[in-house]
Amino acid sequence: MDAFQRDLVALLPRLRRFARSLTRSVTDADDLVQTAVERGLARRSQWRPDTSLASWMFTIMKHAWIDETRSRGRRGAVTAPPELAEGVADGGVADPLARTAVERAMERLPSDQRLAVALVLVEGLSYAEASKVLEIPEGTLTSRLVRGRTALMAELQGLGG
Amino acid sequence: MEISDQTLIAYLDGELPEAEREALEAALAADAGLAARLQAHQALADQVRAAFGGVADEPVPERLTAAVAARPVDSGNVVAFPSRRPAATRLWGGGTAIAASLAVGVLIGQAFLPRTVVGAGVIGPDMTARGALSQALDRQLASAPPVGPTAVKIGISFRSTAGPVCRTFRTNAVAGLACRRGDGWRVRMAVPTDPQAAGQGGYATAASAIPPEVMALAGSTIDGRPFDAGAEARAKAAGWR
Repeated sequence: MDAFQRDLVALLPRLRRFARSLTRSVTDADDLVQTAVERGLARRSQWRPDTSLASWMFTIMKHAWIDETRSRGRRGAVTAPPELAEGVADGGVADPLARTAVERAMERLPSDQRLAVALVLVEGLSYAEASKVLEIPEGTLTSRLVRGRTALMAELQGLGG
Repeated sequence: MEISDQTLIAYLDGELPEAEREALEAALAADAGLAARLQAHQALADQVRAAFGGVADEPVPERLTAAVAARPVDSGNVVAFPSRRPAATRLWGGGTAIAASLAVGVLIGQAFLPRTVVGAGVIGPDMTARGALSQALDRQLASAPPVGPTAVKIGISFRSTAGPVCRTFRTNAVAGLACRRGDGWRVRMAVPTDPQAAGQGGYATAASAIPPEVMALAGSTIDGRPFDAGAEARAKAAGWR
């Protein structure tokens, strides 16, 4: 492996985490990472070494994920009604049920809000870097971020209440 | 003063400018309700981070590391020579000057093929692969590369969005992309390589390096993923159809 490939291998845990915050299952997440890795390798000459490889790969993953959700016939915004009587435990995220509640709440977000939340909250990107990855103005990023997080809060508080 | 969720969130994310930050902290100290709202946003952020944070600590599945590694690479002290725009000196041997029209160095599709490229023996004037290149495309697997300085190197193989199987290749003279057509191979892109680079400055040519223009074409043509070793073997067994 050359330096580019070694850097890519070092990124795999972060790419998996980003994918997991977007997709429904571990398998889907790893499939998304694999697709993105292969596209990244095929297009490696397009990456400028003075820029963030992680951000470049996140952008590739965004496009791959949107292609995938489109081809599955989904429209982004999932409007399934909240499940009742889930018996979800409260608070402590060491509890696997509570983790599932967050995942379910993320799945209910429209795709553009989910991407914003995943990049900023999960991956810790700055607003400037996240808006570059998503190829949107920073103002658009912050409004999607705020809408996504207030929606998550309402959903998770409702379940815990 | 009404403080928005956006301000609270920006503050939590470290994105609030200094002046606004001081004003907000003063307001938080004075307003228990505002502090409770901030607390709620903090709790949500912690909850989301905790839900996914552990993923980065998981062992990475083998297939992902393999996907990164599944490429021909430069090894050790080998330097990848960029595909060079040839000067007016011979590239193919035989003392033939390169025509000015070759200065671009990239031959795509139906472009006119100068006799010098044809003279190298591996690409015909109709852009079909010939000789050693044709044989290598038919028989060689990337997973079993031959040795020797005159050997043809095969890079990746894949199904193109147009349908045919395509393979990247590199010889002493030329590197490029060829796609299956009928019983033969049509060269979709050919880039001169520089055999004079061998032995310069203590470095050997990166014998397996496919030039970036070729990889860019491959990337825009590929349908899905490059073949792994198993898929490549199956494609060969099926006559690359």
